Amino acid sequence: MQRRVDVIQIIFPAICVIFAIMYIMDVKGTRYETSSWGWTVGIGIFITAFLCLFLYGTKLVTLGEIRQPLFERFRTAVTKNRNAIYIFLGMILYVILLKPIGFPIVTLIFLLSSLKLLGTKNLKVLWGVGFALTLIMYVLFIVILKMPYPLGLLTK
Amino acid sequence: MFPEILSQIIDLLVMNFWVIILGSLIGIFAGAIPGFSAANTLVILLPFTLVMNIDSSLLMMMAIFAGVRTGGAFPAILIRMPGTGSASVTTFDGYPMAEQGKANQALGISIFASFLGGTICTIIALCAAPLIGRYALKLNSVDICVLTIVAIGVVGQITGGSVIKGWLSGLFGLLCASIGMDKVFGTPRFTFDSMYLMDGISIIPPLVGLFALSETLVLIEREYILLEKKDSEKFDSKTVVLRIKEIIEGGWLTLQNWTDAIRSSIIGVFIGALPGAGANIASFLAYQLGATFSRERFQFGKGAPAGVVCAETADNGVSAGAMIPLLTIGIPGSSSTAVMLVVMIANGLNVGPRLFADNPVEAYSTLAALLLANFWVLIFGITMALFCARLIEIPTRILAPVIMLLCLAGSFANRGWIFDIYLTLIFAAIGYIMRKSEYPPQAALLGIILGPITEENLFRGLRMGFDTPILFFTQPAAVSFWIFLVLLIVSYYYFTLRKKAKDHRKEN
Repeated sequence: MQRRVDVIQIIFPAICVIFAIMYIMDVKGTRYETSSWGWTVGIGIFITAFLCLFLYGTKLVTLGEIRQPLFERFRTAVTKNRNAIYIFLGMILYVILLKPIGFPIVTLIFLLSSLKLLGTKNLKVLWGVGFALTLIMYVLFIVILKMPYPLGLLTK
Repeated sequence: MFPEILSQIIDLLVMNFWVIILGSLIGIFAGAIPGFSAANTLVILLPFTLVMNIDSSLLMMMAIFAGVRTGGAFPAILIRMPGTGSASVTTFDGYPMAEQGKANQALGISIFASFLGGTICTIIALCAAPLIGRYALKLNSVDICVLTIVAIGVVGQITGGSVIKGWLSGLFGLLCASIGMDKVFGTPRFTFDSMYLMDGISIIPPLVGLFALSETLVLIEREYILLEKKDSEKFDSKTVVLRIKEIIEGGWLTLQNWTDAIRSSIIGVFIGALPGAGANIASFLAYQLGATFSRERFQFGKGAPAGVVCAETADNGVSAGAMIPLLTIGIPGSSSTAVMLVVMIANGLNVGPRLFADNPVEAYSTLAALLLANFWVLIFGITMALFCARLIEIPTRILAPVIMLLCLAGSFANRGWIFDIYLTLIFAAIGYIMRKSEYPPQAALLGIILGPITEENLFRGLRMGFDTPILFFTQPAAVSFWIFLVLLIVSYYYFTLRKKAKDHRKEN
């Protein structure tokens, strides 16, 4: 048995360590009340994150498993979570396009593409859900609740 | 005098019964929309409530207040998308129950527990409002700070898994909560020079990102929310009867956990009466107490009915509690009650210590309306549950994009900032990683919710003690809260070790 870095287990503590250092640097030099709270939280996270890295960041594996290259392991993980990654990228694109294109159009595009990506083959369901939900959201959020969603192309 | 007032109150309630029905319905629907708090709904309806007569508008606002709390539990149970911050506690056990195919029961528990919590607390408020109001006012920043520390102090325990992982998540939440201007001195911290972060992070992006959106990203890998797919049922009279039966079973389970319900109701009404504390603390605290003292404590976090009972009774109890400082001393304890205060003042009501003496009909009928609204919310809740429970039978390939869109729209709805949607996406990514590596996102949310309250009250308390923490360890209420925290931790480990020893004996 050998010890190997467990990639998924170190991501969150690593994020916390980076945030804690940045936070401590940021509050350094401020009023003592502000910095004391910052130091308490920052150092608390720092210590706990290191404990987590130590306790969960490595795991015992057999020799065969450790020989698998890191790149291969990363590729397997990406393939396994491919749909989640694509959908997440789609959501980022949705937010970027929200202002220039407008809420109704970009909502419809996002819905249709994500339904298709996740495997909806029935065209009636695809278009039905796409149009119906866009309409419901438009009526609920823009017409009834008067939320300031950007209308983009539709404003002209 | 009293029979005369009573008959006037009854007249008022009878004449305005449609207002209560309408308010309850609006409340349930608004509560089910993520990002839509009771305060948001009341503000949107302000143009209507300001022109209505004072009695009708007060009754409507009370009904909305009650409805929002119950409505928030529906998406929390069915798709792990809490409509309100306090409903996030309902997801801890409600969603696992839905995954196990007990969605109807879980909804039944939440509806009946809400009814029970709301009713018990309103009765307590009706009988002892002035007394509770006076006591609540005596608690100052020092006590509230220690109370929040009690809620944060056991963060590692409520999550069910590793205590250290729970602590790291909780501390991460505290760090996120301290982003923005320091509440006491106005010093900007960790804002990355962004104007959007000066005011701190609103509760909605982490709530939606860490819970709903990250869960949906995980959900994509499964075909259905249900862990074991049931055969599709036709929606005929037989199925309806069966579902009503399951919902009623939920009600029965609520009654079986009556000790949890009563304990959580008392917590709800007292925490609700503390200005600035709110439903979030009440729900978390009630859940933590349940996780320590309930009969089903070892099942908490894995789909324990008692967990849903604790969260929901406390959450609804807060509504009655929050009305106490408003009606007895004219101080709104939350943003929702602040909107109510605006309406009351605009209508010339003498809000303050003399309200019960000068306008007893309005004061008592407000609380009585809450009682009636709870009844209507129960009826509408059961009806809604009949249809909503089918939601989890929809394949995730259709459900996931719909939830994601609602999440993104909900994040924007709160403040109208596209920046909030970006924040939601960041929290969703972090939540996804946390779920994959078994770090509890609920602990992070607890930190985000309670962090600002703790910090603000801590520094106020320090100022009160002339920059020494002496008051935190000498004030009677604070000391009793510390003792309570120690008892909580000790009893949790005592019960856990006892169970381990019992299991060990059984194995041998």
